[in-house]
Amino acid sequence: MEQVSNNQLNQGRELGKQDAQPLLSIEDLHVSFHTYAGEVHAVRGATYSVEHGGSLAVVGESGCGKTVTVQTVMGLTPIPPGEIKGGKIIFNGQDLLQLSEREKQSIRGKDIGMIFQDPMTGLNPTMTVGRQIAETVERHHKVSRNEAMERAVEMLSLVEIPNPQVRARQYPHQFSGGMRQRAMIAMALACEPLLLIADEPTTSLDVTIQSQILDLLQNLQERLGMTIVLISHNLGVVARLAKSIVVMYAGKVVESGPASEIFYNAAHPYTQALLKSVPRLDQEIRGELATIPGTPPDLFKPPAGCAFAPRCKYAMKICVNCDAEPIKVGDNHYVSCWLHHEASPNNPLKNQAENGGRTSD
Amino acid sequence: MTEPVLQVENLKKYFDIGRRQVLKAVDDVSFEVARGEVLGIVGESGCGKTTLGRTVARLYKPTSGKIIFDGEDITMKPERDLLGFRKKLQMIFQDPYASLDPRMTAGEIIAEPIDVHKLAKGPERTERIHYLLNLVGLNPEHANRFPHEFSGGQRQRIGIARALAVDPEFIIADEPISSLDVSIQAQIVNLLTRLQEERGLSFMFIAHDLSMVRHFSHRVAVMYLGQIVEIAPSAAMHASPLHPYTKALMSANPIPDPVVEQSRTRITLPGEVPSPINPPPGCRFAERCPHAHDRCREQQPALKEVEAGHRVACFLY
Repeated sequence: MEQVSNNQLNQGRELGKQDAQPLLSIEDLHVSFHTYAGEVHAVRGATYSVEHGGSLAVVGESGCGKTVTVQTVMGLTPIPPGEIKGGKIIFNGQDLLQLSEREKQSIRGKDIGMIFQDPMTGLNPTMTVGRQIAETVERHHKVSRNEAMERAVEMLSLVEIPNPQVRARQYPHQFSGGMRQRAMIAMALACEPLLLIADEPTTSLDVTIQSQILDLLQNLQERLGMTIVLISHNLGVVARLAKSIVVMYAGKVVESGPASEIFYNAAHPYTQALLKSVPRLDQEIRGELATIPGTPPDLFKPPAGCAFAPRCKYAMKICVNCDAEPIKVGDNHYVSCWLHHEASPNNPLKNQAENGGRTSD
Repeated sequence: MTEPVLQVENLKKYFDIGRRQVLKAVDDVSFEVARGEVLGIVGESGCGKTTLGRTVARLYKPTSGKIIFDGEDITMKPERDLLGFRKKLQMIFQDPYASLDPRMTAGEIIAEPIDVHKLAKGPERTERIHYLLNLVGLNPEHANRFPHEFSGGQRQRIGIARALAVDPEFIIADEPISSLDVSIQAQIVNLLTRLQEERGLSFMFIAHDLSMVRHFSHRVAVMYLGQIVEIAPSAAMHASPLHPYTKALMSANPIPDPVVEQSRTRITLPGEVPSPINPPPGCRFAERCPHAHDRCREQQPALKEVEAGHRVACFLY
């Protein structure tokens, strides 16, 4: 774990960023959507940060607010029906929520690149792939059309698309799913962003293609020293790419820490249950898979206490009435769970983490 | 192994896609499923696994080959004579949003097969609906609700209840969990496992998630471009995969453990699955195979038994 944080520091130094300030830090973000049925509290106080050169994975099930959070970072949350009810998004020392639309535009695509889950909706079907990439370059740099197109071809070869010259003149429908995802990565990286946000980048792809794309992202990160925020529900993908992990549930961060801490020493009952509910190809599980009973809460009427309490087998009276603040349980490892509070009478999780948690052997 | 409940021999399903082109979705597939056995079918999109399931269920008309179910050849049986077959074999579909009629209540959805097969009437019918809802972990009060009032996992439970309504022997489950969240996937797989064991059901479990298939299936068949390239008992398949494609597929499947995942060596396949329209003449995998030699590009390897029950279509063996 120490090694992980050292690595991150080193990478930060290589980039010439001596300051310990994280590249992106989201503080107590609240985002709601107003619908005909009422107000959906999609993000209810999310706080997390990622250092220069780090790779952070945000994990959680559908509807937990992981996508809305990063869309708000990109300024892509539609307002209305969306409403940012509070919080800060500090990127490179600036609060993105305080910027004008014009200032945001100069950051979006240039300093922050984003790749989306569905490469078909992320690309414009009426423009050639090369032109779309060139457009991003022209928007942020003073270059001629030809120079921008050259840059686009260069980017396509960077993401290992064969025949980039020819491919640049083709339309998205002429690309396969994996190739489209590569093209989208090329577009996101065209302006050498400091931060790449990858929202479920491999979810719509087959496993062998997923593996190719993950290899590519890993290579690019090492070569360009980029910072990555990866949104994923696939714990295998997260294990491969992330150095640190944030677990979200019902619009809040319930646990955060270095990858090794989260995987081998998970402190929140939700994280533990999540880890146990996925079967592993390298291990045989006998009998039943561990499950989490019930379903996530309705965010029209978010619960007053811990949102996981109704599904939690350790839930206490206080859990239902009052939500826990993050408690430090290890190096850079925080958990929002009353069981870890010093006043908690007994902590069944401690023993469980030792016996039932996953070990590295 | 006991007598097979399903025997599939040299099954082909071609689609005519116009301009004199033929898409060979399932091309010469043979396998059998024993009574009470779960056969997992894995492969990537476009490998023909869904078409295989739908052809076996006779939702598609086979191009050629044989499907023998319960000792009866149903390959070319006309639709009007298939009612008995449909009572014994049911399907669970991938998308719980598309496979339930939004204008019918959960109760009506589950009752439809009961009515079609004239299994129960009046209070007995209602009782059966409530029994089925309970069986899949829903409440009898849910019978009056419409699909949009349910979550994805609950909808999949309705789909399972509908399949079980006629008390079938055999279920073809086509990616029943891939549209669900992780924690819900485990719930559904546990439900299917329980039902399979309690009722001695036979299953064709079609999925792309190898780890779930490993957990649920007794045997696994791996498909690539319309053909089965390897078929083996689940444990043997995972302990010693033989076909280069199976090996690559397993190595590409990420393991949720950072130490294991970041230290293991991976076989990354070059390129993508070729089109099933005019597939290559030799081994269909030759183009991407790290071990391909000239023979692979000219001749098609047949499925060959290498160990007891472990068959592979590859010239390496």
